[in-house]
Amino acid sequence: MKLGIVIGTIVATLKDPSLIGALLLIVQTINHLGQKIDDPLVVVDPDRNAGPGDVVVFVHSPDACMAFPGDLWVPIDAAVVAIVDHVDIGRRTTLRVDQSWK
Amino acid sequence: MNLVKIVGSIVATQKDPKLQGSKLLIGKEIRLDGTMTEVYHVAIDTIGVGVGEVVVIVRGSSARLTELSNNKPVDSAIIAVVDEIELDGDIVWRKTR
Repeated sequence: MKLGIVIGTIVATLKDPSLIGALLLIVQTINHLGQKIDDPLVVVDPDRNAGPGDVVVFVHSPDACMAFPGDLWVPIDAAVVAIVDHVDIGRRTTLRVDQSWK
Repeated sequence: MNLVKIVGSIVATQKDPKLQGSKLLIGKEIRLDGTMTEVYHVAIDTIGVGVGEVVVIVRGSSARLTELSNNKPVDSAIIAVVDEIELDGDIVWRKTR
C-alpha cells in the first residue's frame, strides 16, 4: 500500500459496467513527510469518501479489487482503502492532515 | 491505472487464438497538463473507444478482469473513457464532442 494525496477527479461516462458508481481520482504519491514522489496515477475510490486534498492509503496491485464491495473481480489495479488523519514515525508526527491541506 | 491518449490501432493477423476478435489500440501516456509523454501502451479495448480519446487503462493481471479480456493473454486494458479531468478545482481537460 502507498500514501498519496488526492489532487483531482475524473469524469468518465463510458466505463466498464463494474465501475459504475465508483469515483475515479487522480492521486499523487507522497512519502511520510508529504513530499511528492513518482508520477500521479488514477485510483478508484469504491466508497466515494475521498476528495481533493485528502491524504489516502491506496492499494497499488491487482489486490485492489478486494476493496470493492460485492463483486470481487473488477478491472482495477489501484483503490483507496483509508483516509489518513496523521502519520507517526516513532514518537514524531511527520504528517498531519488538516484544513491547511485543502 | 494510467491516463493514456489513443494514437492508433494495431492490426495483427497472426496472434494468439484467444485474441481473435479483440481490438488492440496503441496510446501514449499523458501528463496532467494534457501533453503527451513518449511512453507507449498497447491495450485491449473492452468498451469501444476511438483514436484521439483519453482513456484510463488498467495494467497487470487486473487487465484480465473485464468481461471481454477474461482469460486472455493481456496485461493492459482500456476500462474508461475520460470526459473531464478536474485538478485543483479547474477543469484541465474536457472531451470535445
